[in-house]
Amino acid sequence: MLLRLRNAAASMAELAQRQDRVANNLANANTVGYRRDQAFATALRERLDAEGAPQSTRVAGQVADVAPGELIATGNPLDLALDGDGFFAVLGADGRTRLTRAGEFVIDAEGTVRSPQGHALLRDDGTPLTVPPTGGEVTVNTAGDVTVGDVAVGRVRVVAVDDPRQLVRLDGATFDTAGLALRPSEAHIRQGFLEGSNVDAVQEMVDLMAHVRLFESQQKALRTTDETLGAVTRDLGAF
Amino acid sequence: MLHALRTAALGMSAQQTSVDNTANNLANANTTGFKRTRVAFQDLLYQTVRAAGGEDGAAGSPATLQMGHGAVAVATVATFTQGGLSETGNALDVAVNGAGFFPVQMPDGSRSYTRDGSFTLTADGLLVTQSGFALDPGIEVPPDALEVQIQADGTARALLPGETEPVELGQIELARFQNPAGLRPLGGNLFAQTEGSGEPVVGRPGEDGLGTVHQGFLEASNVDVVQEMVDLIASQRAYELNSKMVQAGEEMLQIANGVKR
Repeated sequence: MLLRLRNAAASMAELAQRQDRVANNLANANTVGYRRDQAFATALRERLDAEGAPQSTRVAGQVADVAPGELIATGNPLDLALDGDGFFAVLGADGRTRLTRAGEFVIDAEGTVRSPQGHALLRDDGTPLTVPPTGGEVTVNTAGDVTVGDVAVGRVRVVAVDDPRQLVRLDGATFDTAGLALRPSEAHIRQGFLEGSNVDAVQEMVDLMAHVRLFESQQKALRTTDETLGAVTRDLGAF
Repeated sequence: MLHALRTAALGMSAQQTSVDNTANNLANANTTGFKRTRVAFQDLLYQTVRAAGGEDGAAGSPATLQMGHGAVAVATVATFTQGGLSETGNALDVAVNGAGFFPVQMPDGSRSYTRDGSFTLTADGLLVTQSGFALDPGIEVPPDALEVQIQADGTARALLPGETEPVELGQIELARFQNPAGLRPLGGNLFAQTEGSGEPVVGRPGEDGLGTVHQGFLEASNVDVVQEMVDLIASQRAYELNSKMVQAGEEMLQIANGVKR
């Protein structure tokens, strides 16, 4: 009986955590390049307890949903979207290489192409992409070759990962590359477009409602168990 | 305690920033030389609840469990695309077609930069912006000039009475920045150079990718009203979604309180 109380309480805690995840997805519904956070739970060591009630150890996990977001036309030459499976490689100020689908870039005072968070966009050879101070129109073809005016300045590095479950999130809609097996990507670059967040508002609202109601039913289960236990203690004690 | 409430509140304030930005763009839809801005958002730091591999040995979780904490506005990025050139017929209206800015002299001697070329003359004949700041280098128009001509390369000339050939008054220069999005807006259509924008490349119009100047035209703002309306709707709906999250979080806390009667 006491185990049932614990089961209901554990379930409520997990639902609250899932709701936090929905909140984070909704908060990022308009964040460029954001990948939706998906939760899953795995039941391990399933067994029956002494009273014949099912019991298991549950492990909650999450995976970034890598489905593409919508393409938003901006006309800005430094807005790049990836059409297909892949990520841009960017270098953070902390020296860590990160992966991102957020192709919103600006040129800094030194001519380095950076995201608004300050991550430098990397070229094929692993060095940051820079544009010469002479200026001129920046063009990026679908393969990622960048030209400024008539000068070729390199190719944007686009990589893919085989198992998206390995992706570990960092802030700024980026993922850590530590320990990841990267391979060249087939994705095409679309200049003048941004990829929006892949959060599906309808799906999130459904999850949101389901979590509230499941939370409520677990609470009822908890209370019923409590009442039963109370009755047992009271009635048995009456003898 | 539920993070959801705070996460949703951050989401709401991020969307509010976006609506404020859209309001400013729309308010300046008819401002000469105005460049629209866009708010860039990022998701916040992730808290690792449990690293991959898991502490409960046998469980050996395959993936890291991470919780996000909402979204926040990181930057407003100005889009320096060319605005449309509209003909005014006024000889002192000059538009830049290209990347350059007009350098103007501030009262404290410093320079600031503008795309707004609706110039006028002071009593002394100095060519100034509508706010009264003189072009740098200055152009002085003689009081008896019949006509002012400004060439595409920035050469300013005036036709004086009794003359057949116009006399040269000076050269209008343009300045270009490596990263115009890094310029600091001063209001009044003026921008100041910052560390982020880099040093200006100054020269004659038509050189070094500065663009050319066109007399009798003004540059309209690059605000696309339809695009702004679409952005407004998206922000408003996202705001609403986050407010629903606040409601749901509140309801769950109420249910949790109901565990103990």
